[in-house]
Order: sequence, then structure tokens, then C-alpha cells
Amino acid sequence: MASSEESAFEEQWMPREEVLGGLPGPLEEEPESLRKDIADELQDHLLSSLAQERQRTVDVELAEQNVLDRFGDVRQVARRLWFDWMKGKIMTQRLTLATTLLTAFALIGVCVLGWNLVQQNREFNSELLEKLSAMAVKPAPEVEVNTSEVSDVSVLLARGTNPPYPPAIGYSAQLTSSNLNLNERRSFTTKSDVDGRLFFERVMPGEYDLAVTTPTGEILRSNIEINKKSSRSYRFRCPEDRLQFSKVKFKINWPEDLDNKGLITILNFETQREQDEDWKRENLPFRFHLLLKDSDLIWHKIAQDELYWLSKNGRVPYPQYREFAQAQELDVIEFSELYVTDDEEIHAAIDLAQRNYYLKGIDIALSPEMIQAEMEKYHPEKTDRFLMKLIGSHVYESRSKEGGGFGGRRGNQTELNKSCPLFTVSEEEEQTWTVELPEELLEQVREALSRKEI
Amino acid sequence: MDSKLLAGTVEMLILDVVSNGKSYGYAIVQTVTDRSKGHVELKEGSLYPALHRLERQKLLSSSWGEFEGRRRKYYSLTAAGRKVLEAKRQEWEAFAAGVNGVLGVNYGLV
Repeated sequence: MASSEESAFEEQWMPREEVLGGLPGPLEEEPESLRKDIADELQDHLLSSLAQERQRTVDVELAEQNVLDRFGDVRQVARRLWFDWMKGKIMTQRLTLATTLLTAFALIGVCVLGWNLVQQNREFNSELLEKLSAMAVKPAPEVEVNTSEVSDVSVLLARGTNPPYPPAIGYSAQLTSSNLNLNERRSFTTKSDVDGRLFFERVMPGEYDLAVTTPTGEILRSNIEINKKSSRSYRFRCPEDRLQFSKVKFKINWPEDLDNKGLITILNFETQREQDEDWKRENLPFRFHLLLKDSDLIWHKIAQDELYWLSKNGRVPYPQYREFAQAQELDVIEFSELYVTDDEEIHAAIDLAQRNYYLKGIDIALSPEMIQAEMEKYHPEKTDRFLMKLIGSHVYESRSKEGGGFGGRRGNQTELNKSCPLFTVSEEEEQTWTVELPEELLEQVREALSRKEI
Repeated sequence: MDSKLLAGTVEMLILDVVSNGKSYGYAIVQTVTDRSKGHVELKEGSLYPALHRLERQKLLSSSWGEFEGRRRKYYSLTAAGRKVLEAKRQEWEAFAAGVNGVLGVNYGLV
């Protein structure tokens, strides 16, 4: 048995700290006695081995070295023992830690995702609320309707011109305000019911254009006036059938002394509503002008609004002609400026709706060629417009000529004079209208030509 | 002795030593050396990991005693350890017989 002195020495030789020097720091999961047990067990082994060795080896250091040589690295063995015991717990701890971290990351990810979704949802809701608020703050613009003034309008459509006037069923209609302010322009659309009735609700007072489209595609127009708060019914008779057209030729009965002089005849026609007709027809011209050179119809380049008179009050639509007009002493001679191109198209006939037409007036002018030479003195550049010098005019209307000759929108349906020559487009496929020139007009032309104006 | 030959038998030797009664590490090493007449020497550093492994496998149980003022750990064979020892012994005997048969030890061929 070793003495107490030897025990003290042996413990100093391999103290516990030396044995456990290779171990990591204490862990929470580590059994409380694990390190102590490992150290005690290894110390017991080494000291037992040393005691045995010293019986063979007197040299203490050599004995110790022999013990250590047989045992190996004490620290490494202690660490392996510790690790073997702790391996399960460490792995469990690591797995727990990894699982915890993964769970934490997953939770963080879910939270971040959820937060983003919440934020996005919040932003979306905010935008939606803003839009809704904006919509709430700014109500859709509405045309102010004074309910005390609006009226309900009923229009009864009937067919034909003879009793019993059956209802015009299924005719589409549009009632449009004639107000020039487009922002205030109102339009109502409806279709006639089985009684042929059109019904427009809450219509503001004012003038309206009623356009009715028949099942055959013909568009009929009429103006109606809506008064304040006075529900009113209108009755209109629609044509039973579509308009029929015929080809019409024209012939001017020139006297021998004026025939083939290249004179231009301008005929001003106007149709008149039949006594029982309530409509203007979209495809029926109410006023039109025919332009004939001698007896050839060259009218197609003329439009009603393109006719201008250079009158005494100095109305000159095209400033470039002012100089010429002054040179021609326009104070005594009126000029008509017409859109006539170089290529005068001669038409054998034109299509006219089968109905009555009244000749309201006749104007005679010198042809463009006759004044072209004079024109070129002032306007050498090429132009597609020609001035024609008016040398005679006759009006059948009862109205005075004040305000200009023909060409303006003067006159209306009721002012047609009964003296206006009546021309009728019959059902014949082709027909010829012969225009007799009044003697008064012929005298004006002869006088002008005799003065050799221009 | 070549350590490679010993590698698969260390646990069996430990169990066998402890099967004779409780023992402690240094004594186990000495017992193996004495019984094998010095032919088998357990490397002392590798003994303790094997002892602790058998303890965790419940093939050995341990207890602490005191010797000369220091703690000493004793190992005892458990019932499970005894069964495993028996199995390993049979396995070894079969293996040794086979090896001996190949080497002709029992037939005096060497």
C-alpha cells in the first residue's frame, strides 16, 4: 500500500485538471458527475499502473513515462469518454437547435410573408378606400335637371297618308337637343311600341331634333319644341313606302338669238312638304341648284353653301378677288362665285325623288371662259375657282329681292309663291323638264350682252 | 499481438473477465495479460471507451468504491451482458475452430 506521502505525490503527478484539460466547457445537459467520474476513473487507473510500475522501476520519472506510454494520451481518452457520453445529448441538442432554428426561420419567414401580405393588403385597401373616397367626394358629373321643368314627351307614329293610319311599330327614334353647347346636349333613344308610341321621360325644355328610322332604313327628321313642365303628345305620320326616284333631264328653251352663247343658267329649285307630311326626309334635298351651260347640266360641283354674292355692301368671300371686283365696279354688277372646276362634267340626267318641285328663281351668267382673260390679269396663278358674271336674274317668289339673289337659305316652305313653276317627278323611268325663260330675264341678258360688259 | 486480430475480441474479453466478478479497469487489463500469458495486451487507452460503451449498452453495470483514498469504478456483468458473452463465446469458438482447422492445429499438420 502506498504511503500518504506517496499518494500526495501521485495526485500531484496527474491532477484532475490535467486529465480533463482536453474537454470543452461544461454544457447544461451534461450530467453533474460526468467529468468527475471520468477523471477519477482514469486517475485510479494511472495511479494503479504507476504503483505497479514503480515496483519494477526505481526511477520515478521513468516509471511515470512508462505508465503514460502504455496508456496513451490521457487527455484524448478523457475527451473521447466525455464525448461518447455526451454524443447523444449533443446530437439531440443540435437536432433540437437545428429544428428550433428552422422553426424560427420558418416562423420568421411566415411572419415576414404575412407582414408583407398584410402591408400589401393594407396598401390595396388604402388605395381602394382612396378611390372610393374620391368617388364619394366627386360624384359622377350629372347634368343638372330641374325637376320642376322637365316634361314627359309622347310621340305617336302612324303610317300612311290616308285613314285609318295604322301604328308605326318598331321604329327606332332619337330625340336630340338642338342646344349648340355640346356639354349640355342631351339625347334620348327609344323604339315605338305596339301602339306606335315613342316615350321620352324627363326631357328638359328646349328645341329638339327627332330622328326616326323606319324599318326600311329611311331616316325622317322633324323639329319639336318641348315646353316647361307640360307633358305633351305629338302625332306624326310616317310615309308608308320608301321614296322612289326617277332620272330627270333638263332642257332650256333658249331663243334663237341666245342659243349656244355659252351662257350659264342657274336654276333654284325647292321641294315642298305635302300638305299631310310631317317629315323632312334625310335623303331628299329640299333646296338644290342646277347649273346648266347652254342646255348641258354641269351642276355637280355646286353646293348650296358654296354660292356667294359679291354685293354692294362689300361682302367679298375671297379677298383675292377684291381687286378684280373693284375693277369691275361691283357697286353696279353682282358676281356669283361658284366652285366650278376646269373639268366641267356634263350630266345627262340626275336622280330626283318622285314628288313636286318648285322653281323659285333663275339666274343667267356669263360662262367662266368669257371672263377668264380678265381674271388672269389679276390672278395669273392657276385657280380652280371661277367668277361668273351675273347678267340676269328672275325670282318667282313673292318676297322682295332684298338680301341677295338666290343661293342663300332665304325663304321657307310657306313662302313659296303660287306663281312658281311646278315640276313633278313622275313614276316614269326617265323624264325631261323643259324650263321656259321669262321674257323679262331674256331682256336683261340681251341688254347686258349688247353693252358688251367685259 | 497484432491489434487487428484483437479488434473484434476486446468486448468479448472484457465481458469474460467481468463475468468472474466485479472488476475495475486496471485489473481487467492485468487479468487479460495474465490469462493470455502476455500474448494479449489490451491497449489501456482503448479499454475505457469499450467499458463505457458496454455500460451504455446495459451489458455492464457500474458502481463506485474507494481504494487508498481515491474513488474506483467497478464493473459488473448484467444479465444481458451474460447472454451476449455466451453468444460471442460460441461465435469465437466456431471461428477459432475454423481457423485452427484451416491451420491444421488440431491435426498436427503444423
